[in-house]
Amino acid sequence: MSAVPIETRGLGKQYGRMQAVADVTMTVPEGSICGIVGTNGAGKSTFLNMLLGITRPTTGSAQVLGVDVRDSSGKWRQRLGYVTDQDWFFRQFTVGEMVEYGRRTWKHWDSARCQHLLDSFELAKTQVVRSLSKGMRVQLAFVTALSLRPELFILDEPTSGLDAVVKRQVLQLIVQEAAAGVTTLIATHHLSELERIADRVAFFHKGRVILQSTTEDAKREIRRIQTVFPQGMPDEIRQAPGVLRIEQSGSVYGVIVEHDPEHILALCRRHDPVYLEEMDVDFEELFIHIMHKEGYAREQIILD
Amino acid sequence: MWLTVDPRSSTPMYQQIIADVKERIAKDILAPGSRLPSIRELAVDMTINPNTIAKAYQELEREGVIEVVRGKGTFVTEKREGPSPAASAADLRELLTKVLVEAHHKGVAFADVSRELEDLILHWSGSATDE
Repeated sequence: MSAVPIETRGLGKQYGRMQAVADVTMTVPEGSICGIVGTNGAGKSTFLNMLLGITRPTTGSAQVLGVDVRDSSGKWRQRLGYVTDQDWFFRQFTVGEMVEYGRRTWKHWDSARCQHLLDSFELAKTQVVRSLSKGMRVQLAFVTALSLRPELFILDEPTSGLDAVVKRQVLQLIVQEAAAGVTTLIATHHLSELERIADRVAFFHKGRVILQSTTEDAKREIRRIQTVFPQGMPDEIRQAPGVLRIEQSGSVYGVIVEHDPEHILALCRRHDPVYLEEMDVDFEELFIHIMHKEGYAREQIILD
Repeated sequence: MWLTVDPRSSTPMYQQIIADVKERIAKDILAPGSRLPSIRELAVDMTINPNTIAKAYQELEREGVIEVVRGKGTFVTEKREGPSPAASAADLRELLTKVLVEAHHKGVAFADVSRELEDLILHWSGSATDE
């Protein structure tokens, strides 16, 4: 594994007059769990499908595991595990037949690992795919994706509609793979899950990436200052540049600030606050503020 | 180990892990010389990014709270040399100030804070000697 797992330059996809993805330049380092976030229709799935070789880009380039995604041999797909909430199994097959199909399809198929995963999920080879619950089908998808010994893991909404137990299993598998050096790209609406497991994040909006960085740096983009003033919020702070929003709960004000909050903190100190603290915003707040800056009304931003 | 973190907290997750490990050591739940889970084990157990655990472990090692023995694992340091007493006192003062501010906003009287603290000290010194 010498090449960067994912490297795109100006990647884009146009369907007729609709620009689904535009000008995405992204590098994902090895062993990283990178979250792909955005509202429905933001271009997340189209982006992933281009990396998978399912959708052909109209502009730019993408190297996946060192191979150009336009390469018709599709060789990199042998080293790539893919899980989507869209069902791709042959419904009339048994679990055993699906496993056999996997063994014949993927060169590095690991039968021992496959059996171990089936056992831990309590999936029997005699079960027919059609009769499996949603959670079991996702488990089976993870069994096949992991048994091929992937170097890269692409997950499109892997936890949507899962119960808490299966969700936890799935997240643990993702973390376990990352600890072993597998790179993961995960598109999801579940920002609180992502906050735990991702070390990088890319926010998609109308086909473009509006912010991408490590999760730590992303949280530095927008800061929250919690403060209390004996005389209420001074106008000087309300009108200060960099202040995006001021929220009030009782006597406590939350000042949402863009980038470096130092000058706002200094301004606050000049008004003798009884209380002043700088805080992280969570991913959901972060996303909403970034979208808001892009001109979206807060009420229109619906994630789930 | 059953560390808990809250990604929604204003404290970054790696700092929560650091605080949690320190608390367990202070309470003698983690004795000097005892082995900590590997980065991988803890990451899977807590379902959080391995890099977050690695960062917390690095910081704990830098502070001399834990030590990594190559090929053997990560252990709670036997003898600890803490930061200078003056620096510790300043940190403590800052922490306690936050507690008082919080109490003020929640409408808790300072006398009650003081009583609560005494209770906690009793409880902790009890649990530390019971082992």
